[in-house]
Amino acid sequence: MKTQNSKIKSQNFNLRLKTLILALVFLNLPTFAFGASLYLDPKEGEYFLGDHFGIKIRVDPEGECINTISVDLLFPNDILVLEGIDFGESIITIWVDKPSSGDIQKINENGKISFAGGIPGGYCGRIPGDPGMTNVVAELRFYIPSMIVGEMSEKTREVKLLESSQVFLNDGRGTLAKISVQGAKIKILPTSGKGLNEWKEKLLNDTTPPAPFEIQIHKDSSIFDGKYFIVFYTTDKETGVDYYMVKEGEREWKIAKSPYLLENQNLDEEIKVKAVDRAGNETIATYYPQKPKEFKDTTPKNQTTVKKILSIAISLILILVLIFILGFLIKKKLLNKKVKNRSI
Amino acid sequence: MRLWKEFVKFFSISIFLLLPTFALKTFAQKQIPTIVGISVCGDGQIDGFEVCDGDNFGGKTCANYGYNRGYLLCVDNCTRISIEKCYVEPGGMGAGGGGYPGGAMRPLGPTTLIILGKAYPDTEVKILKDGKEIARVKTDSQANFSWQTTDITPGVNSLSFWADDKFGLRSILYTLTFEVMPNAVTTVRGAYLPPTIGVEKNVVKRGERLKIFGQTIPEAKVPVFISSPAEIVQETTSTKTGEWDLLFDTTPLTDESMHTAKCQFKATIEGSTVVSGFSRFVTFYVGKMAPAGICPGADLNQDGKVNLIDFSILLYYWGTNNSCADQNQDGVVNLVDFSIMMYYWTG
Repeated sequence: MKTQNSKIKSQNFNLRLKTLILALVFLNLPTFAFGASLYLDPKEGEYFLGDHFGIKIRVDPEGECINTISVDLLFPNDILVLEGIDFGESIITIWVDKPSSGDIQKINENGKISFAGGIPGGYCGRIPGDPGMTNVVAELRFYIPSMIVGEMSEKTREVKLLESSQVFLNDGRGTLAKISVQGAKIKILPTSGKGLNEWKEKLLNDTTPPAPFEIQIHKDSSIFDGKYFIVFYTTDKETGVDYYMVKEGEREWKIAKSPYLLENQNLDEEIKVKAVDRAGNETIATYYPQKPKEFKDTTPKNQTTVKKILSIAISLILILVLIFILGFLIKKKLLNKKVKNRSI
Repeated sequence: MRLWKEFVKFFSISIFLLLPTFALKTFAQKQIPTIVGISVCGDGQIDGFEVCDGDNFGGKTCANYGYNRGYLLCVDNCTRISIEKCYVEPGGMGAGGGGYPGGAMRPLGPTTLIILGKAYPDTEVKILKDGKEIARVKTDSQANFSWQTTDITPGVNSLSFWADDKFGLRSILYTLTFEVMPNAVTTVRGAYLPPTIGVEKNVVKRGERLKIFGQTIPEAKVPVFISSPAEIVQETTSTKTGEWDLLFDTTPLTDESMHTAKCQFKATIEGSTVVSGFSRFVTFYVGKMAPAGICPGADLNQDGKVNLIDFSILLYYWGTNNSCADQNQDGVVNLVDFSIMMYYWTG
């Protein structure tokens, strides 16, 4: 009887243990969540030959606060041509790596787009009442060439966000968020479309230059061998800053990135930085030298020679006069000595 | 029957265990947002704290206020209905509606942004737009601050805020990203900075009491979260001047290891229970000797600020193993270090 009881007790214990384990498994399932999702909008679309269209890359932090986004994306470059990337609406403010208009050709050759940047203080999702979605990372503007009109079959291809894309949590530790990525399906119909180019229109309508900015000059013993460098940065809410150019003194404009090591380390020349947006609007920031420019002698060479000869001659005359006076004084002293000796 | 009983038991245990675990996980992983909200005065929609918007008075006319003529005006950034233009006319045919008379178009106002928030009593809040400092505002004795500008470009804007408290401790950079509507007044309410936090000592012996302190809004509850194998939460209350402290007994913490502490505030503001986001986290070592930190807080040039200069230094060392720029000491300067810099950004 005792054995039977203990057997029942043992069975009950096992059952309770199983129940507890099952419960633990059960409760852990629904609390598992992705840290963020990167997705393309629209996720599918039908387009015609000759069509121009945009696909937005959006991020949903899904309740987390994130601060760094790195995107790797593949597109079918055999049927799609990337016309441009619109960063005007982007939530990213500080860019580590951002393709410029000059990189578009290379991107089209590879069919791969990569960029990365961050939001100081992080992004925690859409604020209640915000009139916009405010989660755009970038908008890709594509064109379907009508040259493939000969191929009359319907095509469905995918624009893929790669798993190598990364999102980091705003936790001060650089924690990589678990992300889900969702691409977009592009169905191309073998007929000609309207050919309306919204991107071109946006570029034409964008007459707002990038926001005004400052050039900051610094030197730090830890970088550029302690030499002077400049930092600069601005934003453009319409189509995004495309590139920067730097001009030191009378030198030529150069395409540059911040930080930029100055050629002229004397800081005695004007420095200009030009921010150009994707529509070609410009904002120029100027640094005026604090040190007055060193005086450069600009008088003609002939005059210089005459001046030099004159000054040498005057100096020689002065030296001769001095020698004469000195000789006269010495002679006088010697004569005085002689007179004294005779009197003794 | 037995199977049914077991199922009921299984379900109850699951629910019993699920709720606290879910709550703990939520606390541990996610930043709980404060009640922050945006209302756009000028979009014709009554939202947030608005009582009217443009010609939209929510169906009200002068008649609702006892007049039979005239029209209502929407003033004070959509937070007040003015009856200034309402009047009584003997034998009048009835009250006019709201808005401008004769269907006249309302003149387009400037694009305006108003921020209302809380930081710490009698301090200065630094305001950053897209990562660059653009303004400083003073808080009052109740930690309130407000800031208004018309120098703002419509579109997506990132506004960030930070402040130093009376102890010199720095808040996190609190960022709000939202769309500013053209020719309208966008009001953001609830920009509440989380508390500041500091520790009296960076190294303590196990069992010693550690003073954790900081400042927040006056008379708020301050739960402090201390990391150990299991998170320990202890609560304190801030004084009338917003100061708070907690004497934490380090006995439950693992010896010879680093620990972190962070906090938030809980308070009732305008009838709503508000929970702030988390503060910065502070680290302290329980044991005899703490490892030395290299360029802590992403301040790579050690000038007390984390801004474009530090970012430039980070980019200069990108891909290298520079020990200062390599914030997480994993041997390479990369996006992880950039993410840490974004967290500590001050502009």
